[in-house]
Amino acid sequence: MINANAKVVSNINLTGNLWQIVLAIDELPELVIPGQYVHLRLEQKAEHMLRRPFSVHRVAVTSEELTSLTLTYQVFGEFTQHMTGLVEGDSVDLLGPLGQGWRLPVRAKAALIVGGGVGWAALAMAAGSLPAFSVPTYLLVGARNADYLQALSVGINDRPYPLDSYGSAAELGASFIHLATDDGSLGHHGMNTELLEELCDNVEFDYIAACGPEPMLVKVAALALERGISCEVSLERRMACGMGSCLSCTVQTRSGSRKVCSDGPVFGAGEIIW
Amino acid sequence: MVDIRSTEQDGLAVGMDGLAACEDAGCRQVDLAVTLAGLQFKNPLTTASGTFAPGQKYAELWTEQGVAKSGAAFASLGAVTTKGVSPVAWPGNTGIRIDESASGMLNSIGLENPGVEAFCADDLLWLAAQGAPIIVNVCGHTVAEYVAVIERLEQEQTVSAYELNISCPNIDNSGMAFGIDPVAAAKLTKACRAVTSRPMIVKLTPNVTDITEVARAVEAAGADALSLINTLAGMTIDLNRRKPVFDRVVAGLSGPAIKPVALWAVYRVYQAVRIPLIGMGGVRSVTDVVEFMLAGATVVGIGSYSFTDPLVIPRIARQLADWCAENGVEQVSSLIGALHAA
Ligand SMILES: Cc1cc2nc3c(=O)[nH]c(=O)nc-3n(C[C@H](O)[C@H](O)[C@H](O)COP(=O)(O)OP(=O)(O)OC[C@H]3O[C@@H](n4cnc5c(N)ncnc54)[C@H](O)[C@@H]3O)c2cc1C
Ligand SMILES: Cc1cc2nc3c(=O)[nH]c(=O)nc-3n(C[C@H](O)[C@H](O)[C@H](O)COP(=O)(O)O)c2cc1C
Ligand code: FES
Repeated sequence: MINANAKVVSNINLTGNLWQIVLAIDELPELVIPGQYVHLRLEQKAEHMLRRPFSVHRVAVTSEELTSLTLTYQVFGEFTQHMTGLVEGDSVDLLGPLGQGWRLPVRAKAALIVGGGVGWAALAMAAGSLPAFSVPTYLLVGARNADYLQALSVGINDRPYPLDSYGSAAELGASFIHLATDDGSLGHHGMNTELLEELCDNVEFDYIAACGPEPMLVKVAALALERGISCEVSLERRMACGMGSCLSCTVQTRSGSRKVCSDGPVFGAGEIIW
Repeated sequence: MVDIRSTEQDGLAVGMDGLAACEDAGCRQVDLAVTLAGLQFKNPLTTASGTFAPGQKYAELWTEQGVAKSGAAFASLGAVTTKGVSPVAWPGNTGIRIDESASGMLNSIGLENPGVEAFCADDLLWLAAQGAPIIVNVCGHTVAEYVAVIERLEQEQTVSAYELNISCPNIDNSGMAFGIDPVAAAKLTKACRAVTSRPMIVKLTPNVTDITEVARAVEAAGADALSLINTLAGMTIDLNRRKPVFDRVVAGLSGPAIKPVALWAVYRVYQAVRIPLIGMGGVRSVTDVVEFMLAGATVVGIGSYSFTDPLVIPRIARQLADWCAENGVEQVSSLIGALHAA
């Protein structure tokens, strides 16, 4: 974990309120584990005293010294609105990488990754890692519409599926994609969780990773519990410190109160008291 | 008459830790040490309760960034002040716990903590190895609960002092109720005084008409020092839902926005009592620390700004020596209350 200035490499509007920013930083001291996040501060906006957490969507080493981090963000309130104004060369104060990421199984019969909207950002690196362990990996991702799904680049190892194969359980290497949109513009018309039962009837999963709106996580967790599938979820809570000190971000678990910022954001789904 | 708030240097060997390292030949060394209620602080800095300790991640970050040594990660602090500790575990508040406001933040944590037994077994044990004296912040719903926490902590050698939190706006019974009533505050102070001879600090709330009244009452009841201020009561509104953001409606405002309020409280209380003060509220720079000391603080607490800038504490610790050297201040303790002498 470091606290340093990162330089904005690019910052573009993908579609609607979805943006993507690429930050470059001198030598991160450690690898970013899939599921970890960075805690950002915009120094130009001194009246903002609280940082904001964003999942690391992608990591790349650009040259020998520079690590580039891609974050995909949705404009919600003031902070994310200000973020849209950042341009190449601006600097952003970055703290991270933070948190416990996914505990991906090295050996599994089949793994399922369930993403809702921008929650995909927290899952993309996991979706890239699992096939590397030769774990057959299925993606089940839902979003507002076809444009959002395309903008999120849902796929394996940064190889998004060609649009025409979306929603058709197309096969790429060992992996399969199932998609859903709120407006039916691509894949299943409705929520991705509506495909969950059937998918689990057809494939014997022994690991599920999920990130997205909490109602989606609740459904995924319930199904995993019912079928005895090992399942992890990535939670969101408002965070102040990100360092396990302030207790703004607690979640109730079967082993007591836990901090989403440092004990999570990834937790065993069966641990959470929803 | 000797002012008991100034540093008692006579016959006291100040270790190298208390002296700012000075690399320029010929530059004079600055003495950063202060004494508060008989406790030696190598510098006048502590963490504000609930915003830092136990601070394992801060220790990790500081050592990784080269601003602290591993094994003595908090050596840049005069003392570490812990989160409030109650006799048994408290769950804290439901719902959203923080919100932002211009140059500030509100919190409704509700003093979540694992209780004194778990605190001793985990946090205290870890903190004791980090190279800074420990001030334990104590909370309870009743006088008996505060006393119970202190009685348990009396068995722990590593506790240097207590800070009684009678000023939290985030819990229903007691909490701030003690802090807004001089009679109740004095009664609580007296009961705690009876079970410890360790330095006892009482933490005051600004949510009163006259903060000096409570200050004088707890001084008379046996407090060795006062710390101020706790957060200011406030609220925020979620316009989309047309509901208060916080389940309890009220929350505590902290951060740079409250600094002028805190300075004025320290300034007034300094004139009202003779015991030393720990000043806090919105500190984010070395000049803020100096201002609090000039207003009357012997020690200064750094709180929510650590959330904004996790390196702010070691930075201020380093810059304090430089600031003193540049401004001809040989002993940082000479700043304490200097505004009042002028
Ligand atoms: C571990 C973690 C990873 C995240 N990763 C991403 C990501 O990759 N992409 C992305 O777009 N968003 C992500 N978020 C959510 C993101 O942090 C919030 O959208 C952002 O903080 C909103 O800030 P704002 O000032 O724009 O909105 P605000 O004005 O602060 O709030 C607008 C709304 O956003 C919600 N919100 C505020 N703070 C948070 C928060 N800390 N967490 C969740 N919701 C919040 C509240 O419901 C609020 O009503 C993540 C959150 C967490 C905890
Ligand atoms: C998240 C949070 C938790 C806090 N918890 C406590 C506590 O447990 N006990 C206490 O006496 N004060 C507590 N405080 C108050 C601070 O110690 C301090 O008095 C106040 O925040 C003002 O200082 P600041 O502006 O530097 O943060 C808390 C403040 C915050 C922001
Ligand atoms: S954000 Fe401070 S403890 Fe989690």
